[in-house]
Amino acid sequence: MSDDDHKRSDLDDFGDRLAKARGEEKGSKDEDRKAIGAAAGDGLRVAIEFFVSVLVGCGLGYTIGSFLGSALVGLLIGMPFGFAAGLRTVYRSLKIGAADEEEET
Amino acid sequence: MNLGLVERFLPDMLRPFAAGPMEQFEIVPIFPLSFNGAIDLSFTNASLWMAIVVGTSLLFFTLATRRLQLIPGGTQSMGEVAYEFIAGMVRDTMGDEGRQFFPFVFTLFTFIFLCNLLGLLPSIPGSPASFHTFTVTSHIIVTFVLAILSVGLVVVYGLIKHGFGFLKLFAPSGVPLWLMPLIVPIEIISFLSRPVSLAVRLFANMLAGHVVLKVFAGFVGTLLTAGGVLSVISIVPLFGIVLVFLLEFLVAFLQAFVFAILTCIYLQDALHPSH
Repeated sequence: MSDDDHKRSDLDDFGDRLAKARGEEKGSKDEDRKAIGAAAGDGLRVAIEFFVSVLVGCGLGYTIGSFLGSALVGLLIGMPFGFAAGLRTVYRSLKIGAADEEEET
Repeated sequence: MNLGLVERFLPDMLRPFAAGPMEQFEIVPIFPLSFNGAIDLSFTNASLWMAIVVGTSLLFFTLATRRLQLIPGGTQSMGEVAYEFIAGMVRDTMGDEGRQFFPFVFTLFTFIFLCNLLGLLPSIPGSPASFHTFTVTSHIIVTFVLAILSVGLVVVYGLIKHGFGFLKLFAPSGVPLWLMPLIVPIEIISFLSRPVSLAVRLFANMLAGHVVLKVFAGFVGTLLTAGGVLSVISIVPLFGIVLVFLLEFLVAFLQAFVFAILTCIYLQDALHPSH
């Protein structure tokens, strides 16, 4: 066996061990903590999106209502629309998240 | 530890902590300039920090691309990592068509990231208030303008490319006609809430992080001057500051990333409005 071959097999061996160690690391607590952090971040993002949608719905309803004569009626109509828009936004961002996860697995 | 000495000198050292947690967000004019008192165009500490951010990014990317080598050095690889990261994000979300938006997304990401990051620098002790470190992105008007810029680009590009076909965005395909009066307002509200949620998310994260840091710093000051056992306990909030500071580093990057990726997702709507 030449010197070059010997070096290559050493490198291959090192590569195998590294890949194995990385594989073991994946299931470690560190990964779990990262996943929890990412999930908390996603949760906060979705919560803000939902809250803002309800707010925009109310604001839009109130503005249109005040032009048409009754701001209160406008607000009351705008609120459920905002709520529905919030649900739609949340559904859409969760769908994107799920698609990303599917791609990874 | 000679607590007597510490107590004698501390009040002076802790004077910066005496300011409330919201004082760091105050806009202080550096060169006042106003027209008849109606339009205020003063160069403020916010303008100064925006200029610092732009200067820093210019300097960094000039250094990174000055002497390009096949095996990159430290600065060049950092620049390449930043480029590859955003280019990959643009390619993944919008495909090859989205490459025309790369300069916009890259500029947006760099600006927000550096605003968040440089805002974490400590102020120089004893410097005047107008030169204290200032986080530009902790002001909702700044984040709102950035968000309007993103969503405005979506609308303008969508209308130019698809004409009135862009309005299909508000009428998803496959929805029965009788549901349209309900779906269209919902989609419009959903669309209008995009710039608001983009702006609020970035602003709220930066504001909350800096307030928490300042409150913890306030605890340290109060406990240290209280004397006795309480002075020793002040190490706890000090340790807390270190942890929150590390978290803020992560938030600085994460918020810039979220802003950039959501801009890409919205721009995807401008490329293909019917979804």
